[in-house]
Amino acid sequence: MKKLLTLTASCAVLTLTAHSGANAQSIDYATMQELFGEPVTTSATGKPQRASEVPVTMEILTQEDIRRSGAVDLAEVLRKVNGVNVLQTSTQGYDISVRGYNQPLSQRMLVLVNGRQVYLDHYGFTAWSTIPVQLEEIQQIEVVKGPNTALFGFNAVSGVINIVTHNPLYNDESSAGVTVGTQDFRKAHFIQSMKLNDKLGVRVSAGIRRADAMEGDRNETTALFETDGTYSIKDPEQEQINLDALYQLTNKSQLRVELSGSNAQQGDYNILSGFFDSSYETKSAKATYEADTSWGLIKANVYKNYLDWDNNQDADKLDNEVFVAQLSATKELNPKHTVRAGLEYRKNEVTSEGNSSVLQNTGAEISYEVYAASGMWNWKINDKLSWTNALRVDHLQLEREGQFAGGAASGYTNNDFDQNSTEISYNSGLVYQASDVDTLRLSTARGLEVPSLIEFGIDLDLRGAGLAYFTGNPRLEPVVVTNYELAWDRNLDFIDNGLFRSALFYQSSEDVKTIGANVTATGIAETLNIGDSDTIGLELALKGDFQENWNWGLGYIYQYISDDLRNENAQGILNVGKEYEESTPQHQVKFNLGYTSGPWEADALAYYLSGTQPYASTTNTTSTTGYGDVDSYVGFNGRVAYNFDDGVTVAVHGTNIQSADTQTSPGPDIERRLFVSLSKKF
Amino acid sequence: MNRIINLKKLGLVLAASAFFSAPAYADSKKDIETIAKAVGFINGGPSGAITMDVLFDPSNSDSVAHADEIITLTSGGIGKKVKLTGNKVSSAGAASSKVIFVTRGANSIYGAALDKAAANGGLTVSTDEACLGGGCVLVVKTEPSVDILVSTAAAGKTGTEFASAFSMMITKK
Repeated sequence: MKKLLTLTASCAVLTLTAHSGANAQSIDYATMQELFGEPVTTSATGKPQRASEVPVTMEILTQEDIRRSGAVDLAEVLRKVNGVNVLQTSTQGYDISVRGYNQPLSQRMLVLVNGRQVYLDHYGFTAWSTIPVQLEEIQQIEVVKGPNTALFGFNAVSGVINIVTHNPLYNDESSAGVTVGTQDFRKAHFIQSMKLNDKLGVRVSAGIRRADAMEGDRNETTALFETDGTYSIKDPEQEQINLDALYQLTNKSQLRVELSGSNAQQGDYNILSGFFDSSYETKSAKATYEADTSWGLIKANVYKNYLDWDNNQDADKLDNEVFVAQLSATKELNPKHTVRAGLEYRKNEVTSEGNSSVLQNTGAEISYEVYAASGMWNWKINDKLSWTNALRVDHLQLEREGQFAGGAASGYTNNDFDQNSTEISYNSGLVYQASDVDTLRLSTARGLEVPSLIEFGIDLDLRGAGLAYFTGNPRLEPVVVTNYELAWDRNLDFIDNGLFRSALFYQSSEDVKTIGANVTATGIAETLNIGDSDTIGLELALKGDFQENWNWGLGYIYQYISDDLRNENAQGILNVGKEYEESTPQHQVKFNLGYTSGPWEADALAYYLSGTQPYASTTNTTSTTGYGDVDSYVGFNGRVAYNFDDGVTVAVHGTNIQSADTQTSPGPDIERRLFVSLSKKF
Repeated sequence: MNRIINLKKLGLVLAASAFFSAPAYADSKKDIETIAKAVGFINGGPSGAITMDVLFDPSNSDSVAHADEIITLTSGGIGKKVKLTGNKVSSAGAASSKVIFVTRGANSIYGAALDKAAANGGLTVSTDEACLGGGCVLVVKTEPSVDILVSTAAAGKTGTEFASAFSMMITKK
């Protein structure tokens, strides 16, 4: 915490001295949403835009959507979004991706809170329970479908999820609440916003949660390929704390400081090693300076993330530190042209703590630095047509120090890790307002999924246990994801607030990478790029209101994936943890229905996923793997709430309501969960 | 029977008269709220409770009716950060507010309205798109969707500058 405070103080001094006398305003999302009658965002191009005008396919969940979802998990809130794949592998273990390609510990999504990455950079996945945000303090969740690396950098390949919290200076949102439920679920949250004067707003929030593990979490008896039934997972826990302060430096410049921390303990499912205990401790400090100057909207962002990860009941421990500094300027040159220029520096390092079973050898450190430059140009060609282009260049320098677990057997020296690579990513999108009610979008993008530090440098010698020596690969290439998309939106007059949305997309993923490929005769299992995967898909959605009290939405996605991966051994048996063709549902349907009447709110979400054959492994070993069947299934989430005049809300809600347990992944069955909540706004 | 027919005739006449005398457009509270919110994004612009001069052309019945409509709509004040209350004025010279609402049909006083707004250090606003070509800095439309239109020439004349983020989301003519 001392480190955090020092970093924050340094950031504050730097930013205060850097731009004295500048002019600017951060985005007042709530007011602008009220003004334009739709959410606004900067997550598509970096330029502030109305949701209906962005050159990408994007969905924005508002605070009302979040509240009415009845979800107690951030990930469960996202289940409503058409085209989003939600994979639940334990009580609070979730993986999310956009348009398929979801797997346990999915690495294809970039997840941010107010622009700060909250995906865990040692392996590039998101542990949703570690995100230090209460659902009640979220202004909106922005979901960008498809690659957006040119704006955000690595990992934004399947899509981007940016969680935007209430602005402490503009929004006065305070609340407290408790939730209890089945599986001995207990949760409490507290949010206090304080506008200390006209220039300073502060919001503090905290949450704590306890529950019994689901039956499957506890003994894995329901998991595919279960072998021993005795591997015990600790009960899931979560704790989060967050401080968000915004100070108006001048009438056009602001400084925002965010400090956060979280602890989470849960069962995680990994295709290679099965079900295991994970505990996470995160801390972060971030300072953001924004100014409205003659150079345009200037934004300087500095943050540091800390992670202590323990992934095997105190056996494997890793420390991960990420430092990011970003500077951007967005300028409207004239009514037709807006440009944005950005610079970014990033340092990502992993060190080990622990014993003989660590993913990095004791005392070893692997890290990379990234220097990036980016640009965006938005051209409003005429009243109906606009064109946006974005380009980003990333230069990555990798290095490693320390001994190897297997000595010379690893096949590498530290010098082999002195690697440099330069990669380009882009986004280009045309938006055509064909009529007052029709919008067409044609877009293409190239995104990069950079290898994680574990993939670059895993150093896990399990030959003594009769398994392999898992080594990294400093020459690993990033996965390049290229997307082509044609989308059509139409407002429908014959339905109240009726909107039809559609998107046809083709996406290729080149150089898919995996740990544990190509086991040699001497037992070396190297991380390798193993081939390509292509997908084509169609998304359709319809939503509207009727009779003032009702709202509804219907979504469908068809997706076909074709893998060309070297992921089988000589006997034709899948032997590495990457496979998409069989693990992605070809059909997904979602239907939501909402009703309001005076103080009453009632909402339901039904979803259907066609059957899959995901790759799975046995309990905590790599010895038995293969395809398993997950039959098609239907799920229901729902909520009924009564809002009292004094800000008190009582709600009954639940997830997976239709069944006591449902097999939804290669992990354990997911159980029915029912909750009762009491909350008060003040 | 004759009496019934006469009543029917009377009903038809009343309905027709109501139809033909109704203004072509009817402003809503949402229109004024949108203006108030947009004014809140002007750099160094007015804030708090503002008396908005509603400028009309006494010789134009449509303009007079529009002014009455705005006065009625804003009688209790509309908006939060900027709260607008209408004040009817029949000549640009009588306008003293930083926000001058130009009514429909007041084409003949567009230039004077803009000059007066510039002199007051404020701006002209309207819900009539025709005003964008001559006398208005800001025009809002809220149906079928919200559109905020700004005349760059008029904004230049009055020195009206919007916050950059907001400016990137509006239509400039």
